[in-house]
Amino acid sequence: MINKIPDKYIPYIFVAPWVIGFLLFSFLPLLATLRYSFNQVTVTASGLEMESVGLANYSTVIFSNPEVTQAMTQLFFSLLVFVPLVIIFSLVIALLLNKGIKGTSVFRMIFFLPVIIMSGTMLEMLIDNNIMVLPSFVALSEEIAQSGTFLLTLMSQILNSFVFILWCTGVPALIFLSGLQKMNTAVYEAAEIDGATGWESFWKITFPNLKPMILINILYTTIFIATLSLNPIIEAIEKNLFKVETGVGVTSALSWIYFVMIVIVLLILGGAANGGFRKKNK
Amino acid sequence: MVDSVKKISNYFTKKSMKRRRFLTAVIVTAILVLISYVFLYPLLRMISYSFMSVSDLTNPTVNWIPTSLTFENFQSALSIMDYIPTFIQTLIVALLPSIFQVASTAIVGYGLAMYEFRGKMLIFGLILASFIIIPQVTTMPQFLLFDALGINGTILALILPAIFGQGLKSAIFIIIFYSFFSMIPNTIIEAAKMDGANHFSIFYKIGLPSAAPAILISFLFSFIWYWNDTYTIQMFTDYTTLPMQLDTFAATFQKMMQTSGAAAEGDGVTANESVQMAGTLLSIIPLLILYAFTQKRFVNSADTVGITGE
Repeated sequence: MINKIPDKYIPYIFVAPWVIGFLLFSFLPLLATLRYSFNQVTVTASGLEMESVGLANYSTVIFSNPEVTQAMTQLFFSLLVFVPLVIIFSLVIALLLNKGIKGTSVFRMIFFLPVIIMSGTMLEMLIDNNIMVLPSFVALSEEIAQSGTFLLTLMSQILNSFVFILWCTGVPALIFLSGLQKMNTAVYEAAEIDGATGWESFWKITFPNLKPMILINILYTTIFIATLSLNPIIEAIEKNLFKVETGVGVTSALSWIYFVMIVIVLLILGGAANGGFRKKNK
Repeated sequence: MVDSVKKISNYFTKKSMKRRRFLTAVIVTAILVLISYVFLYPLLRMISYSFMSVSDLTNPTVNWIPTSLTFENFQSALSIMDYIPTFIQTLIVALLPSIFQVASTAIVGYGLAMYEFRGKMLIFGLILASFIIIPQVTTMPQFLLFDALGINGTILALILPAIFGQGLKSAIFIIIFYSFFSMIPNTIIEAAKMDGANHFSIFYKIGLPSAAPAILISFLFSFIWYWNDTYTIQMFTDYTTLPMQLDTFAATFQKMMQTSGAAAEGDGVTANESVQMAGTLLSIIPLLILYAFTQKRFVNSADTVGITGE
């Protein structure tokens, strides 16, 4: 019987489970939550009752909840700063590991370790006990935070999150390293003969080849940081989803705002990476 | 004379090349060691604190090395976290959905790798989109669906989406399998077809067995991601996992202190750092043990799977 199915339908059979799952568990729920966000939703024994309230839920989230709005803004800018830092550090680490010095495998093991153990709650435990920051960084960051200028406050925050940023480099560094190792050394030799310096050959040969990996890493890192249960917005969503006062409608609005924010971050970072490449290749 | 000048300059160049390489190696190693220290600092601190007694914690002269190895912290943490039952639950939560997730993403990845068909690009796009769709924005409707199916609170609430390729970070595994299956040489497939094999037996007899490395890697990643996830597990199941115990650690400690009479109602007793760190350490030890045995697989995964091309 199996042999009677025409060849052209076979791939659809392989892909079918995913399509069904996507519709059932991702796409339709996504639309449903969107619908909830425009309604006042009450949970009754017979299901959900909905009353259309237009944008009221959204304005509740944005205007009546200063901590949430602040957390959201903070996360937005944190992502814009942290993700590129993670990418840069991962690339540096990958380049260093690619040198092939003795003990590379030990270092790879160390740098990938956080990937295995990082959970939102574990990070919170470490942060609460002040051991996610190096003491010298704490002192330094306090000093420069004193001056109050935007740039220095930013630097101080980066110092405070430095370990976290490094801990996020596990998977991206892995991808970069794999990409670096696939590169053809002959091209470098040719460049050297033509008189290119190490710096030049990095930017003209290595970097353009890494573009797809940079984009993948931007995507992965952003989603990873945004979905760590560590951040306060996710906590807010968790806690409020079933609360009668705030309710499903408001929480849905909150999660959609969050979702759109993440997409915007991805577009900004992805666009910047793409644009940066176009410029370099001129 | 020219010859001897050449000889001398050759000698120096060789030596300076060697020296340059040696210098590079030293600098690179030094930087890597520094970075490693930053990486490991929290973990080293965690281990150090978890063996400290209260007197060690308050003693300003004790920095990294406790005066004596205190195991009481671990005993406290073990009971606070209700370790063994929680550990078993965490194991179930990490193991079962992973099995189904790997199975379904392998099937989907195979279909995408082996065939050309209309809508293939669309499916790829949707898979990418599914990675961006954060769990929070689909929770409530999913919850209602599981409620209607009567599987809320059980492990099935995690398994069901996983079977249909909507597990945690499923998109990544689909890409892993797609990448891996794409590497199978066409000649093998052609030969099997000529021997009269149908599509599914090719998948079963050729594709799957050769995919063992990809299956292992996907399973390992899925395992640790399910282990460390608290949001989805909390929302849809009644299971308590080790990471979740860390969340309620302070509250549990307080309750235990109150029931044992060591603290009055309303007292704000918090577990000290040593106990907290002992608990955190205990919660990640199973993962560390797993990593000790499988780290090579993890670290070489990008190459094994061929995700950056051949």
